[in-house]
Amino acid sequence: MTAVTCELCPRACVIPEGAAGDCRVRVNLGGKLRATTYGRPSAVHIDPMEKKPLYHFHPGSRIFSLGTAGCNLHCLNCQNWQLSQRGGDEVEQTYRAEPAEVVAAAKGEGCRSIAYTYSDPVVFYEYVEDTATLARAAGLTNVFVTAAYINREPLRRICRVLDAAHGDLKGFDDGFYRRVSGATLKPVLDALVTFREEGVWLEVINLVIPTLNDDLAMIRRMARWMVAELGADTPLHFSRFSPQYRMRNLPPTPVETLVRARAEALDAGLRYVYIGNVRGDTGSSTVCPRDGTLLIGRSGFTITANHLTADGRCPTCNDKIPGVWQ
Amino acid sequence: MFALMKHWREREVRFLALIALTALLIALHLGEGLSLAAREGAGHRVIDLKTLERRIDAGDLSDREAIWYHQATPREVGGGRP
Repeated sequence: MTAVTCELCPRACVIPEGAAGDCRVRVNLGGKLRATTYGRPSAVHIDPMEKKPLYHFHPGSRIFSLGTAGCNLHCLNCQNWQLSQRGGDEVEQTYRAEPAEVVAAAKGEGCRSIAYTYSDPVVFYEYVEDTATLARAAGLTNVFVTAAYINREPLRRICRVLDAAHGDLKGFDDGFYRRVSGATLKPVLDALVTFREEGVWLEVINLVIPTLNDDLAMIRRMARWMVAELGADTPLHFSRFSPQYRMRNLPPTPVETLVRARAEALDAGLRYVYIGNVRGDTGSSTVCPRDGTLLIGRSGFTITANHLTADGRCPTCNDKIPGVWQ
Repeated sequence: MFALMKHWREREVRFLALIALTALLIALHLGEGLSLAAREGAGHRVIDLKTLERRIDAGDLSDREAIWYHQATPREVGGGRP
């Protein structure tokens, strides 16, 4: 019996023959680790970029989005648990879509980007890498929507073919990560810094869960860390929790809590802080930090106004607004 | 409440102690599971291997070799979850 050790994420799973890693989809068959969902997505959709959500990356464009079964986190509030908390032997539906077919389909549908999303793309790493390499050659951009629980070396390698990342910072407390996601905080922080170091456009999301991670002092610490380590121009999205999966005992996040969190993060020095998952346009528009000019208006996933100049500047003060706009 | 407890017999006390012990064991088990899940070398999952192999043979899943792994060392095998 030949066991293998997975080096992809901080769990470092030691996997005996015939078993899977903690992610359920990386399986030891015959002493070799197999990526069983390579080329076999279980979810494929075309979404607006704002749904990822990415607000400073090709706003208003369509993004071809795919995900496979499995995940290396086990969040009690997972909204895609039917996909993420199942292995290849459990998931009902898979599609056959080799990397070249994904790229051809994305181009055929008029998408300018591909998102690796829904479950965590860390667990279908090889599929992402091959698809993203072909996509880049075909003129498409690649977006990694992730909880960022990945070791530094694999992350550095995949960053070579990524254009943007949406990193989920679930809370700024290690105990919270352990209790709610079965993970730890430090590798996530390291990964977010790595995205920045590698020049991948990064936006961060924080799902605010009542009583668990809505403490304003913790949110302030998180925002200060972002300013210091990722830069004040890194967009932060506060997202509204809704009861899901194994966390149906808590109510949806009050909008006032999100508004207070946003004010706290802005006060800590972040310049682009958004509110998501709420009806209407509360906190979802981009305004110039210098003069308050409305740059991009949004309502839900819809762009209602776009006043940025062609080269991504404020039309009033001519300041360059950070992002990938072209 | 204390007046009622005066009438408890040994049987009731033993029964309550059993319930308390059971609750404690459940809590310890859940706590251990969470801390193991978050630990490096946190082990593996037993899967339905026959179903997996059947789905690979049918083309529903892939047997593509992964990158980022190595043969486990004796120390790693000894340190993982049993």
